[in-house]
Amino acid sequence: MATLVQVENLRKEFGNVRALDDVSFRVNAGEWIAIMGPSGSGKTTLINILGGLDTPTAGQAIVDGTDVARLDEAGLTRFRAEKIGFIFQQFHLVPYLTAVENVMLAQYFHSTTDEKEAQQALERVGLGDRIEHLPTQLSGGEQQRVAVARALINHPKLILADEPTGNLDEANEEIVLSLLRELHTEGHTILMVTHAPSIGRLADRRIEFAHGHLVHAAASLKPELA
Amino acid sequence: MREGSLEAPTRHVLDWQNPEFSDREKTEAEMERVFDICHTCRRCFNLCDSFPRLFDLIDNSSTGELDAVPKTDYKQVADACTLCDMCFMTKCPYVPPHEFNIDFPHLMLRYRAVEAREGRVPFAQRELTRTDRNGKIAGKIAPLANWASDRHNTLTRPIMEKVAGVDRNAALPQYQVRPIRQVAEAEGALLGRIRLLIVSMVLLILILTALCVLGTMAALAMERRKDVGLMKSLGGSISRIVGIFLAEVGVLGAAGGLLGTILGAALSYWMGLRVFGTAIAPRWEVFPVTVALMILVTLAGALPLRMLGNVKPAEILRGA
Repeated sequence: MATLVQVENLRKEFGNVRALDDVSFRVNAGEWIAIMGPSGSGKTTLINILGGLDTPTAGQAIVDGTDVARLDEAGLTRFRAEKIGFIFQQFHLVPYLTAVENVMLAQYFHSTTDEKEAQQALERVGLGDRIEHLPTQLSGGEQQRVAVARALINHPKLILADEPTGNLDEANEEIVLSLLRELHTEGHTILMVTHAPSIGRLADRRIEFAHGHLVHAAASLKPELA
Repeated sequence: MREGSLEAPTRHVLDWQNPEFSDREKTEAEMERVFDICHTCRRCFNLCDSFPRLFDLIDNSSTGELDAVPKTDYKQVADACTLCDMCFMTKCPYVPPHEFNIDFPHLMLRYRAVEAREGRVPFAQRELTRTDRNGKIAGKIAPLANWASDRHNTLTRPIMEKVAGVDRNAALPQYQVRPIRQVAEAEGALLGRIRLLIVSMVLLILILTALCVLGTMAALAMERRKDVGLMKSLGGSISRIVGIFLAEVGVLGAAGGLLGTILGAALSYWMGLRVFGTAIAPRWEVFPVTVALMILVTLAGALPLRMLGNVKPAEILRGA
């Protein structure tokens, strides 16, 4: 099983605060990992570093053969466009663009836009009839599904989801989780931050944080990935 | 060559330095040629008195043709011409480029040149043409005339009432003696000042507009920081993101400039009619200047977009 993400002795300091301290772990291609822990334990910081939104103070964070710690600003920008698909708790859709335009925005920054492909991505997340809707005309669950379509459109190596269901009601949470489950079955590698144990249990493995330390990397519940 | 003078006539310059120009014999020969053509056409009979005089001379002659009219009578025809140019501009079908090459007013002018060279201009007419001197002399009399026509003048006004029937209490206009050049210069100076005022107002408006755009763009950049953070997280380089904003601003600026130009032209046309009683024609050379200034103001307004370079997506997208 190929290693997609390799984190070695990762440290991140904000002034005097150590958000991450000597964190090491590996993720295999195709794994679904739940990153868990209380607020302020460093989960989001880790996701930001792996996604190239932030740089570590020390250590390595290798994603698909690239050490993000060594990339400059332009390199990080390309890295985000080509390797990473983000899903945020707040959805973060551009409010004055329609659903399909939001998806096409990611295409635009990656290479060129392809409206047909963007429409297919929306159909895939069950929004074939919401293509021309603005975010304000969509429910929270629908907005998050647009965000999932946007995250997938450039075929990223790694999907980073930061509390993807944190702002959703139960029904919509179920829809988004089943989408993630589908993606996982198709072979996508997913790193998902959550603090809900019920959601964490859906993943192959759980990595738990407390005060910037990795406290527990549970063995996979699925023997074949152990 | 087409007859009828439907096109604008061609006017040839007077050959006044040529000695033949003021030669009586040559001039009268040319007049004979022209008058004979006029006699056969007579389209100009209802214009000035030159033509009825000419045709009466011919009709009352012994043969009824021009050859029986003595050359000395040509002077009556030339004297009646007022040089108004109406026959040349609107009536005569044989003006150049027609081969007959008829320019009646110029020919009358030429006859007068002959008369002047031969010293046949009467004393009174000669003196009347000295307008500069006459104007100066008249200017000296103006105070006297104003004194005499003043309503409070108990000496002259009763006489005027008796002799000319002008009521002694009627206000009469005063003479003002000012050389026309002085009037023109005063108006020119005023126009220059108005122009300076307008130019400084335009500059002020431009600066204000640039500040407005600057402020709006700064607000826009602040308002869209979240979107910019998101675009960066999607892998958007800062040049591409700023490009999107510049395109938006450019389209807005172009639309505004176009609308402003059209509305401004319409407004200036309307104002010209209302205030000055004359239509102000739009000057097309103003248009490229307008577009250039518009682009300049837009670019100045785009300066705040540089702030977007400092947006840290991780900070913008974090929770909240």
